[in-house]
Amino acid sequence: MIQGQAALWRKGSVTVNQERKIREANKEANRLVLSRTVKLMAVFGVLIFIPLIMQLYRLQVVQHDELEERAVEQQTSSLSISASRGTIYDANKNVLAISSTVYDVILSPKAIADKQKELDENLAKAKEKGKDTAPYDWNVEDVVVTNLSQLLELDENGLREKCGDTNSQYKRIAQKVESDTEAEIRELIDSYHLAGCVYLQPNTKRYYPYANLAAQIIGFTNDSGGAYGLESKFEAELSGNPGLVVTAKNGIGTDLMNFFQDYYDAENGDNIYLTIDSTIQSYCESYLEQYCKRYETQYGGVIIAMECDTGAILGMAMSPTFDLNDYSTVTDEVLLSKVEQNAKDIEAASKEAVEAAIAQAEAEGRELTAEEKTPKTYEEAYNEAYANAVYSQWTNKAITDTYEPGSTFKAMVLAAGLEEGVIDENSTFDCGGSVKIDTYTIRCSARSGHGHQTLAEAVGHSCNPALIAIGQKIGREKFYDYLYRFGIMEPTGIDLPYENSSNVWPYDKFHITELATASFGQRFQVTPMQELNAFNAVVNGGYLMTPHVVDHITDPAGNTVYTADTTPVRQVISESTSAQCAEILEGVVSKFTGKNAYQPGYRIGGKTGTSQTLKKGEWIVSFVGFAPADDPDVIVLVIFDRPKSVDGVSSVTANGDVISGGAMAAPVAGELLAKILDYRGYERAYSSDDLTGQFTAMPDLTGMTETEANQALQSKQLSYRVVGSGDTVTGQIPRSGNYVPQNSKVILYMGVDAPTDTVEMPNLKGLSPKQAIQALNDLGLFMRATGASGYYTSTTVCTGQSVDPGTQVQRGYVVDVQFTDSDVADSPD
Amino acid sequence: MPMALPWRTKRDLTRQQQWAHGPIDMPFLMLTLLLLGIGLVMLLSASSYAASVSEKTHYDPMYYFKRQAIFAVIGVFVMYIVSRIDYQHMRWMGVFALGIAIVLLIAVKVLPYPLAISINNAKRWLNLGFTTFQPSEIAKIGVVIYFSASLSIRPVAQIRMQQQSKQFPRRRKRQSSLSYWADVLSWASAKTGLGELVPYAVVLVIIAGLLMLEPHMSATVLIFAAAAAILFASGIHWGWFVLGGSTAVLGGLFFIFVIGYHSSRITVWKDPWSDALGKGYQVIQSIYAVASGGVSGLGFGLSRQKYLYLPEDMNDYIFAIVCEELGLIGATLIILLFALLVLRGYWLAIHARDRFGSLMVVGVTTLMAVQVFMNIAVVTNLIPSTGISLPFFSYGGTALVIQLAEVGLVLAVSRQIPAPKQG
Repeated sequence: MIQGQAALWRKGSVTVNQERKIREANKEANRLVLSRTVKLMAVFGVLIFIPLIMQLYRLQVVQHDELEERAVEQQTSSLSISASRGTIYDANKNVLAISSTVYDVILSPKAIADKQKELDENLAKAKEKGKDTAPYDWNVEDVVVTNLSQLLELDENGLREKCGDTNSQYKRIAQKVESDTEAEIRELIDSYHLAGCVYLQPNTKRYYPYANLAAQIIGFTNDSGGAYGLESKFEAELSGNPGLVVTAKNGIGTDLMNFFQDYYDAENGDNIYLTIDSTIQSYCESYLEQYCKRYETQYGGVIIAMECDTGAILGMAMSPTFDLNDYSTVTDEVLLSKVEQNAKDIEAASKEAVEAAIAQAEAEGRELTAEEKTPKTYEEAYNEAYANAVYSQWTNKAITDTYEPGSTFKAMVLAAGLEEGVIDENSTFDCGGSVKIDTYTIRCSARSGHGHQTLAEAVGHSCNPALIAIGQKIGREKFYDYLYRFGIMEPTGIDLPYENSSNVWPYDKFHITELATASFGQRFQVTPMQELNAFNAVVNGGYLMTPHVVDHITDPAGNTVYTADTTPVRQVISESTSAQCAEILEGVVSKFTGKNAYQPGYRIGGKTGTSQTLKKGEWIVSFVGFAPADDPDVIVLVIFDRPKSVDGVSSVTANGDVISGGAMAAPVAGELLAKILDYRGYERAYSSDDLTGQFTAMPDLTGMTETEANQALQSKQLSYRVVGSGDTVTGQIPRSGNYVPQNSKVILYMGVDAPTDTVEMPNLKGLSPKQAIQALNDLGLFMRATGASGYYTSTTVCTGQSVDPGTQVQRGYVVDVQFTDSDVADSPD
Repeated sequence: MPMALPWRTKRDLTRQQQWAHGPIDMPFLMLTLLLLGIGLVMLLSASSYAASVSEKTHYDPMYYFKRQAIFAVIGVFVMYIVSRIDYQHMRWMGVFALGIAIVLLIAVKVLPYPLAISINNAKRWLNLGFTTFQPSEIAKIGVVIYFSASLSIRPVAQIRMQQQSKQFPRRRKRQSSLSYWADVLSWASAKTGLGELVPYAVVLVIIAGLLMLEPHMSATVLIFAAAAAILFASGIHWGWFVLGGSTAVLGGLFFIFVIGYHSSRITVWKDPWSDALGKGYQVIQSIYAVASGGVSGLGFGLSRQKYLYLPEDMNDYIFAIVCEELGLIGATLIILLFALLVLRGYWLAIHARDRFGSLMVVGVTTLMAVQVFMNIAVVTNLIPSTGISLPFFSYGGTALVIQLAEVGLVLAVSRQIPAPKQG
């Protein structure tokens, strides 16, 4: 009997009945304890462990892979090693775009607060123990804020605000800091033991050493890589593959080097070599800039120079342009002046729209929100206009904008006509000043008509009725087919992004009137690139090429991984037709509307173009020129987009330049071609035409007697004057080999040395060729005329000189002087 | 030579004393020591890195292990002492243990730092100078002993109750109506069996109330579980457990969804990634550790999560490291060992010499089973997280000593199991 029951016994007398009852109760209780404990055993000894094992199975087997991957992700720090972006070179391996490492500056406000706490503790300890308190008695935030705000030229308050967010461990306070600043920041970190509080993250910065050279072609990068131009088009090739170092780390980010480490090398980006030659590109750009200014073009202009046989783009210049290192800033004056006007327009339009909306709302009995009621402020409008200007300066007009090609397109019509045999060089055309097609009367640029003319003359005059006649002979179907064959109906496939195609009537709308206007390049639009490419096919032997700016791409090891395909897309016309066309087009320059493109010594061919825009008084003037005409190597397209008319109606600018392709674009194209040919090593080969009455090479007269010298000079049709009294020639101006115009007076020095002093260059602008020669000869200078051929006409005036007035030049210097014949026009109507 | 007992020969003992000198239950002891050994080794693995990088532990990788090992030795010694006590003396100790527990629970609430320590806004620890301990551990033992002692004499109380409830009380002369209705109430409570439960309920409410003030959810749950198991085993009508169980569930739901702190705990439980760097962090790290183990584990000592990812990895979350290093196979084996320990505990309860012993062992065993379940369930995010350690594994000296003392209690009961009759 156990204690509890004993106690009960003691409480008083227990009857036998009670004793029996207690025994039975005990038995019952024991039985219950047994059965209940067995149940507990089942529950707590078996059942509760089942869900545990099931949950373990779920985590360790079912979700194992997924969760382990996430665990490993946090357990390892993968340090990305950025691949160096490929470099872009021009044709001569000059660097056009290159990347270098810069640094982002990051603050960890949390670490700063922790560091401060640690300092404060140490300071308290030091004070307690009577030690030196100086090492701990400073404020981390103050040090960080004052130093960094100075180094990075940041606002102190802004920095303090960022420091205040002590939960954060990552506040980027500066981006793309260059190496000198980076070194100073590292010094700051070292001297104050700020590692963790301030740190530097490597980043890359793209540099464009030539700033705005070929800006629209090269393009630029932003934080996510190539954003525009080649940088964007060849993003995959340039960017490379970043490398990775995977290191195990502990929960607070410390690397556990002895745990494991894995390396994946970074693959640097490929290097791109362009066909663009920075010299030719800069020729194109400087001409464009210079003449856009002079002609006051309202929408800039385009110059493209292409290699005829390969389609390689040598230069592609756009105006307005921008600095690739600062691509969101508008620097072009014309564009900037327009921003203000556009901003005013936007502001006014917004005001009008809001007023209209209010009126309408009142009529409908509706309430407008405050936002709807407020018109744009001038500032908002300005920002919008500025953003538009930024976009427009990025535009590669050569491939995205379209224009009516105008008369330059006649070259294709000529080629198609000759190829189809509907005309030949002996064909003749009569022009009465206008022609009636269907119900429309189309006029020629010469109102009185060109009269009876040969094919070459008709093209030379840019005679619309003659070209219409050729077009009609070719016929709708064939003509339309030639549009395809010349690549007008599809993008050229140039390796630049955002290329557009032409805007041409669909065939079912291409009726006889359309055929007529198309014959002289009006009422349909092409991109400048399409126009140049088609023209190239006319003169280069008949081959349509794929224009391209990338010559080849090499991997970082230098292996070539891509080479531009220079096989022709198709042969459009036969080589003989092409040669015929080139000859006729050379004639355009040497004799007719293109004569301002004439450059003595070079055989230049080309075609002018002046196309209308929808607005009266606004023209797009252009010229396509190629040289040498007998075996074209370089072809250029020069476009000036809407030169500003002096009165808004007449085709003359404020500077007195006639608004026409022949007067404006042709001289630029001629000069540019001459420069390019010079640069490419072409000798000026003077034809007999050039030499008679014009140019001669200065013979070497040194050591000759005056008589001998006289004979030598006479044979060259040169006169001379003598300085000194020696027997033999001891010096001469100009030096031998220099070309001087015939009938120039050279100077012979007898017994005395030729002087080496300099003379001041006179201003020749506006002078006639004769006056110019006189002015130069007086100073011992010589003139080489460029520009208009046959410059001895009364309308020829000097428009430019290779040496600026006022410059000191050596005696005997041969000055290139440009002349323009103002009597050339090829207005389409 | 026959082995002599330390102070007397067996012949000199009373029958009562002889009973108290039977052999202790070897399976239970061996399972305990096995788990204690594995626990120590896993603690070494889980704690060494954290210890090696912390200034607090003097960068000694063995710091936690050494301390735990010392406490394990002390604990085994205490276990031995307790196992040698004639547990019959504990019948009267229950009330005192309970009283002390209540005093300590109040003390932990009212005493200032550094006498009482709070961690993470929970004031659960009393500071003894050389170590700290949780009065809730005492409360567990107090409740178990008191409930067992009191319920072991239930049959007698029941008889008295039956007598009391035989007839509906009649109103005596000059009896106030208030007193009469009290009689009716006492008759009703005796008739339904509610009266017998009231003292236990009062004890539980007091203890639970004090624990929830700390707050200490897991200890409350454990004590309720142990008390319920003892009440259940002692033969209380099962209806009460259905009632109590559903109340607990409803109360739990109320807690979960009405009280803010717990409800964010629930959100984190359902989707730890909803607050991956905040409240969900520990659970996520635990899940990562468990899952990384896979079937066969990363290998002993090769946990990755112990490198400062998993907070409390030598403490409440040590089983996550076990799972990571030993995999599903190792974890299941350890769970199996615990299950065997629990089963052996109930087996001992069934075979105990008397109901007091049975109920006490039921209490201790249930405590252990529920604690193991809750700990592993928290570690694997089966239930919302609550601070609960794993017996024999988690770092914590006093807790380990008390745990082993409880095992000693079970062993003490096991000594008095009558040997089966021979032949």
